[in-house]
Amino acid sequence: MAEPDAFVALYERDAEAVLVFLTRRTLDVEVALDLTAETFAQAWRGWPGVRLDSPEEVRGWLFTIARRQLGHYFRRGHAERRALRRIGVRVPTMHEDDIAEIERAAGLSSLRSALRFELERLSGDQREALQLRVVDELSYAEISSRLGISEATVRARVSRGLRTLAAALEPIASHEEAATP
Amino acid sequence: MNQRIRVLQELGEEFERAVMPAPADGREAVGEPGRLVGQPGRRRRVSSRLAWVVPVAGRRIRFGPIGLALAAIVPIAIVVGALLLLGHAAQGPQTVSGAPSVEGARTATIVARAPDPHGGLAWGVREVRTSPGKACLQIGRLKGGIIGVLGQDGAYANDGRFHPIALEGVPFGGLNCGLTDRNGHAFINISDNDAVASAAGDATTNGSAHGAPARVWLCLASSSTGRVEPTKGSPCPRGDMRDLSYGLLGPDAVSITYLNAGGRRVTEPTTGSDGAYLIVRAYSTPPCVLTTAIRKPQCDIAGSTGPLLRSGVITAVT
Repeated sequence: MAEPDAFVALYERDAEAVLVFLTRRTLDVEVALDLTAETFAQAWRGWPGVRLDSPEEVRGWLFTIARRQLGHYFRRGHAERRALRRIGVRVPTMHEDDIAEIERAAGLSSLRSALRFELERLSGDQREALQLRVVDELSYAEISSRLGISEATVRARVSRGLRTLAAALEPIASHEEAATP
Repeated sequence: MNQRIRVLQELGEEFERAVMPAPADGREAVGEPGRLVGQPGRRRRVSSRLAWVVPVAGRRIRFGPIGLALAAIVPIAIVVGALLLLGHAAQGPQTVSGAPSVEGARTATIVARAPDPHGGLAWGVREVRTSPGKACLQIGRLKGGIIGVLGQDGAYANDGRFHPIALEGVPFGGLNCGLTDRNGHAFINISDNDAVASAAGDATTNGSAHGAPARVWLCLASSSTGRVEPTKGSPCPRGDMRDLSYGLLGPDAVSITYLNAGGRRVTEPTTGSDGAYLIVRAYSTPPCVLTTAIRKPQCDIAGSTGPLLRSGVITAVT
């Protein structure tokens, strides 16, 4: 199992599913791409020790790593990049047509509208940041300028807001769950 | 890799290069294809003893005021650079035969790569090491771990083929070299704001003699023998031009932050043991930089080469 070409095959097979999974939970394609990249970098670190018998088990292991990255993002407000640095992989710049394609694959527009109803559950600060970032699709810099707070604070409010909404997002995002262990 | 989402394809290529077995010592032998090599644990924390960087490339050599802790060695670098420039200074485009060479090239490694904003082959930066202690950077389009020039934009008579760049002869892009420090690290930063998409060199002429921003840009043409000449009077389409920023920031540089063409801030890790980076953006008319001229001010928009980071594209280094 622990062959490099098998890892490349794993990436080829599951990278898009992981990206869609993470996009639907972060509602942000760029964050999701960072998390996807770190997920595979972490997976490569653990690859020599992988002894799983079926593709389904490997996939389950991969999504466990993805969920761990997601949890880190919710807690810290930024995507981890430690494993990426370690193996010298850089995350490519997102192309404009990629953004549209990923949002379409993740069904983000319908998710955004559903989210409007869930925002009321949040504290004022988180709701405002999430509204501006996810619904109005402003950049972190624009939100920072508009609210008069640092970008880091904006990122923290958005990620914590998403964490609070995770329970609500989970069933909304569940249509791909059948494909993800 | 066969991903329908382009960025996933490019990320997959990054992983493929990082995880597939590399040659024994992680570097290619001279004349063999380069490969981007992941180097676990490469971030050695070393003191900031800096290289004497020799700016050799190209027709526009400028040093700017910005440069982190590197500023202290600039005068030394200029003196050493001037000495080594003798016999090296590129007077306009270079030809394949008689091009400046990386004498005694020993190893070459693809240290950074980046997608092209308009698609097609990615770009790569190759670091060529010599003995004793000299490092040079070459840039080109990347195919199968080899950097080269595409037969388009006038290069190679538009034959549409991929032409590998030889290690010991840099036909178009000029040499960008520096001496390494005692720890073997080089510090080189290059900004080229008028590169052609073929990777065959630069496309702009200097601006008017009145200090106005340059408005004329010319594709480079070459015959099948590799000789490069400007095609006078034939504007190079903006879509065939690129803004390139690349270099080696040193082993302590972990990441760079820059604004992409859409104005979005992007942070990316550097790669390799010398903090390599490469940014390829669609062409945007850069601000005019007035350069010293004997009689009239010259507007130079083309770029810079040297130890200092002055492209203006990179906003932060961590």
